[in-house]
Amino acid sequence: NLNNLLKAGNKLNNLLRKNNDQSSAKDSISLLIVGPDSLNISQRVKENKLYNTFVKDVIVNQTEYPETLSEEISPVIKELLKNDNKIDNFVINNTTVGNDILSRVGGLIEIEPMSNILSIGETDNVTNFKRYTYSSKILKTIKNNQNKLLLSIRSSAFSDEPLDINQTKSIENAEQDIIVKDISKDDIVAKSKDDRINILFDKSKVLEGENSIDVTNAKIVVSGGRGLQKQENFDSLLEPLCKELKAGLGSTRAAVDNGYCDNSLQIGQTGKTVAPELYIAIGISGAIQHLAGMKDSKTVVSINNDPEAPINKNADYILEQDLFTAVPELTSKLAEKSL
Amino acid sequence: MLRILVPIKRVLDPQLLPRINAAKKGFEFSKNDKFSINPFDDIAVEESLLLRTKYKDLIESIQVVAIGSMENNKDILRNSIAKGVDKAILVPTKESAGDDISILNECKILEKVIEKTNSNLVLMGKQDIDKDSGIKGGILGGLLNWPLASNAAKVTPSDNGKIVVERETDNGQSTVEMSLPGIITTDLRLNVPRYVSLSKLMKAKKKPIDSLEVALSDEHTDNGKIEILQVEEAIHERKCEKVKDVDELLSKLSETISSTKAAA
Repeated sequence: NLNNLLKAGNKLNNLLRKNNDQSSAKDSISLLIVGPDSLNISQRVKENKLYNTFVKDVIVNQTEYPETLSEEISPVIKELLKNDNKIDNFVINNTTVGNDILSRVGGLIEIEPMSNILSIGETDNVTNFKRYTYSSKILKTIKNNQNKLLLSIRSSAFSDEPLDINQTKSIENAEQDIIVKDISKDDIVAKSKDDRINILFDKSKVLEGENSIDVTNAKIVVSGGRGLQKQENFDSLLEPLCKELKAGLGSTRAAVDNGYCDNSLQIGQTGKTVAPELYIAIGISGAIQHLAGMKDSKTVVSINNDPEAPINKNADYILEQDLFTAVPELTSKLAEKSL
Repeated sequence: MLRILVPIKRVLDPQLLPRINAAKKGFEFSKNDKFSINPFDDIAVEESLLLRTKYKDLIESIQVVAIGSMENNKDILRNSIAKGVDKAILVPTKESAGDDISILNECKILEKVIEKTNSNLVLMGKQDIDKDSGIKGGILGGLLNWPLASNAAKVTPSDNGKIVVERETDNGQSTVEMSLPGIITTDLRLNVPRYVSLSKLMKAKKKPIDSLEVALSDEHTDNGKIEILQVEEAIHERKCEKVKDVDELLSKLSETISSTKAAA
């Protein structure tokens, strides 16, 4: 997700400079890496091509706290956004952690953040931002009237963002620096170990070892709903199809609540938002909450034997068949044709 | 002892599409539009009541607060009274708590309400389904410098006076132990809000709604922090084309599949 974040940062930087929106607009991008492993990560990041082209420096704050605790991380960002640190704008990915950090920074410096931004653009030399409201039924174009800009981006929406190399010439020859900073934090929630917020258990660490495709950035997503009827079907029908298509796996709230799969797979208003090239909805009825999480998919396929399923109104191709025969057939024919 | 405050907001019924106004910068609502409590806030109200059922001795008070006009908010406030909260508070503002008031100002008003009610636990929805921002809990945490447990799927007070919260995260689940005072934002899986009977609703009509005046200083009354340039209906045009079998589906998809595989 770093590439998409850098693409968004680059676009923002170029537009702000061009439109001179903020008198203090800077012409460089700094990358902030926080958490216990930040120094190691910063070394790895140096191998990233985009990083080498667009980032002026990387600021490393090696905290003893995990990077998922906004109570510890947001005060670091507040310090960096103070005027003497020459950083005006803050961009982060729109994840559960990202939004916690973003919004806490907003409270700490009393600047209203813009979350879940889909695109950054301009009209009449004014930089603007687009985001969905009303469960993705309404698209809003907004502008920031504050002297700092805090935003979170929907990562997948920036994967095709072109990079305007000319605009970043000023840093082309600059050597990137890794600046290790010990940042003092006045606004930390906890003063002692006893009164802070502690993470007791984090399941994401358990899941990390699995070699699965990140569904939020996958080009193809296969998603299963209530129609799968039980966990065995969910696994035995969807996993081979995912493998064949190199697809990410998703699900609906109903599938999670009925125990067919883990809640980390859930796509929708609760759960993840995806926007792949191809979204294959299998046995999914299409509740509004689910549609909110996949509406931006380029092509949507519905495999469902219920002709009345609301998902069909939101699909490009509808295969009105029993999924228990259609899905294995699809998987085996894909293997045969090796498309 | 927990003194719980639940901020609640009135939103357009989730099944309805709001009408865009002529200037294309906002919405027009009519008297016939159906409004209700923000569904995530409803879960927060329910959780406060469930906590009282399970941990009676731990709960000192449960109060709900809405921001805006009495006309707009009396129904959701009375509904909360009927469900069993101790007190319903209205902070009257000129603006409705829709697009006319900035999220930051909304949070600053809540900050003052928390101070005045001496609350030590805020239970609130993880997002408003109209603005879909999901940033209120975090902003409030920053303003108050209180910890936040967002996207709660399970809330359990622990013996040491803290609260254990199971959270929904992008990767699955995370469990945190939060000290008080603190903020919890509620996710869909936390509970299923109860319905309220007509007789309870009738009784609640006789109960008072407390008005609490909150003045923001001049510099904070500017609501134009984030300016809306345009609103439009998000069009996701779909072909809605029926295919007769797997072979036809594959022929429709072959190009997309081969190109994404090539890119991978």
